[in-house]
Amino acid sequence: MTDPIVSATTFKWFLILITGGVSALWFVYDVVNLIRSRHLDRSVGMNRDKQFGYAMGIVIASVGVIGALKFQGVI
Amino acid sequence: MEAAAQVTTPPRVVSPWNPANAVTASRFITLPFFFIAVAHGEHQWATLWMGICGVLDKLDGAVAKLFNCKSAFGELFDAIADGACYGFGLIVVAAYGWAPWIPVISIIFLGLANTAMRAVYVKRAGRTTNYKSYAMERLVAYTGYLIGFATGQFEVTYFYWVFVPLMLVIVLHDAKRMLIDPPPGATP
Repeated sequence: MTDPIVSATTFKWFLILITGGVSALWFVYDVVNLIRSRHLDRSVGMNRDKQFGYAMGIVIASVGVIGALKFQGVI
Repeated sequence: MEAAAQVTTPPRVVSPWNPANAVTASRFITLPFFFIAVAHGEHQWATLWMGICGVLDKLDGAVAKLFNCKSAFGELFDAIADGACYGFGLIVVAAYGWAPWIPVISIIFLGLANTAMRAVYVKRAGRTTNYKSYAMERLVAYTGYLIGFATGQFEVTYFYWVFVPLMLVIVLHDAKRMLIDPPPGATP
C-alpha cells in the first residue's frame, strides 16, 4: 500500500466520472421519480416524504454535477 | 374449513446472524485499512477502502432480498454501520487536514441529533422499527462521497460547505415526522 494504484490523470478522470456521471444519472432518475409521484395523495405522510426525497435528490445530484464541472474548470 | 381459514401464519423470525448482516458487519473491516492509508498520505488507497465500504453498504440490501432475511434489526444495524463508518471516515480526514473541521463537526452533530430522534421515534412507535426517509437515504450516499472527495482532494471546500445546509434542511424535515407526526400504525 505504498504506490499509487493508477496514474494521477486516470485517478482524476475516475473521480470526475464517478461523481459527475453518477450525479447526472441520479438527477434524471429523481426527476422521473418526481414526475411519476405527482399524482400521489399528499395527505399521506409517506407520499409527502417521497416527493420531498426526490426533490432533495435532484438538488444533491445538481450539486454533484456542478462540483464535477468546477473540478474540470468548466465553471 | 372455517377454522382452517382462521389459522394465521406466524410472523417469520429472522436470525440476526444472517448473510445480509454479515455483509453490513464486514464494512468495519475496511476502516483500519482506510485509517492506515490516510495516515500514510495514500490518497488513492484511502479512496479505494472507503469505496469498498460504500459498495458493501449498497450490497447488504441486495443480499437481504436474495436470502430473504430482511429484518427491522438489519435495517437498524445498517443505519448504525452508516453512522459509525462515515463518522469515523469524516473524523479521520478532518484530523489529517484533508477536510475542513467546521463542516465535519456540524455534520457529526446533526448526525447524532438524527440518531437520537430515531430512538425517540422507535419509542413512540412502541416496536423495533426503522425510520424511512427518502431524502436522508440520498444524503447518506452524499456522505459516503464526502469522504471520497477528501481522499481524492476533489473540490473539498465546495462539497463540504454545501452539504451542511442541505443536511440541516433534511434533518429539520425528518424531525417533524419523527417527533410530531403520528408514527405509522398508531391509533389517533
